[in-house]
Amino acid sequence: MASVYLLILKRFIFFTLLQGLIFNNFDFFDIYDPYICLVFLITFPIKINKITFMIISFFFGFVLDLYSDSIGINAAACLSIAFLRSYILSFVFGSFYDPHGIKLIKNYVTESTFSQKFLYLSSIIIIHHLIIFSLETFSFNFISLVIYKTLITFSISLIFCTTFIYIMIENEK
Amino acid sequence: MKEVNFQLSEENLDLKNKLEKTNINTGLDSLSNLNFSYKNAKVISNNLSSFKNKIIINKGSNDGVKSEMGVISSNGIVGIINNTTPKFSSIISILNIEMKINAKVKRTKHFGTLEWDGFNTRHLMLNDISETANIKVGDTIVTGGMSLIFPEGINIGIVSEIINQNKFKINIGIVSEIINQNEFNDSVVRFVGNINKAKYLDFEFKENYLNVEVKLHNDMSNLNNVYIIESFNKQEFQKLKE
Repeated sequence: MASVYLLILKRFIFFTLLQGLIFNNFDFFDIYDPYICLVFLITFPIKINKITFMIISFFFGFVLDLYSDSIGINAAACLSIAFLRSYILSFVFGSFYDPHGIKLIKNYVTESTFSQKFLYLSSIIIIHHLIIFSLETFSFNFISLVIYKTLITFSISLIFCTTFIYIMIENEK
Repeated sequence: MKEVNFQLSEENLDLKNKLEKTNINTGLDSLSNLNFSYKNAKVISNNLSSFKNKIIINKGSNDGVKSEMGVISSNGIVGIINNTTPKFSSIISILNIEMKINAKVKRTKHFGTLEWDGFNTRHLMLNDISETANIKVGDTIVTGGMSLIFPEGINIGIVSEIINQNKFKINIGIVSEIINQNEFNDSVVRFVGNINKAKYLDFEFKENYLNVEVKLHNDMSNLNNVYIIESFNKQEFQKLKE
């Protein structure tokens, strides 16, 4: 169990640094930044219970907020993803998902169909982006702006997150 | 190189202040009629990826910077000071969806509101310009000088595209006329009737305003030296407005 928490700590530091120092300044077409930090939430070990997961992801979002000068936007989005992830997993993977976490993330990648993987990643990314951008504008006047930016940032984030997860799985024992 | 840069920036500031004095006070009392003064500052942090972008500069309340002062660069406008600490201050950039700046077309003097659409960092939208204004692509857009935050006539950009909101409605009118001339059978006439009704309905909600896309002179992604504008007559102006 201790080794799992060590792994989480390593990933926590790695992804906050990666997002805060590199990908926040990515500036694709000047304004679009991919959210690579979602890999931390997507591949978080399933056997950790939900309350601990939510507390850790709140602090994860809080550190991201410190990097991007935003007031709790990332923390709110990460916390909601931590809350919703078990429901999304059971919805997407059905009986394959076990809440006790005997299966590793590796099993989920290798033993599921393409549509399952795509649905899991895209639903988490879209919910996260919608929360971030709508909290950022905080107004219904800009709803079309929010949806448009969500879709474009989603496609960039999806490419980066997928690549990153495959690299991580290759190196996982 | 750094020193040379700094010297040039200082010299520029001095010249700007002198220009302001000579421009306004030709033949008048030089002390009481001074309207604006300039301070220079350096950009420390600048971000474009948010909907509400902010810029941080290295001059604060110790240097006399207060909130609601205008900020320009050598090429165009940058934003308005939002908060100050003793050594630093934050600027609401013009690339902020809540920012609204008064601007006018230099040639025809028609004024409108300058806003950001949230995506394109090289362009702003100039809204609320009346349709009768004879604006052409390539016209210069300058600040309007109605709020004393920016002096009148600072270059912002040039018109790159004119979007007419009534274009669609005008098309409907033309189509219905053509069908009327040819005199088709009953079904088409009924169709024409529908079109006319639609045209009539549109007429009530008709907006006689143009949306003009303005290409900015300055590149917001590589800002370095900026100038803060202090207005001396602002309090007096505010008093009159209330």
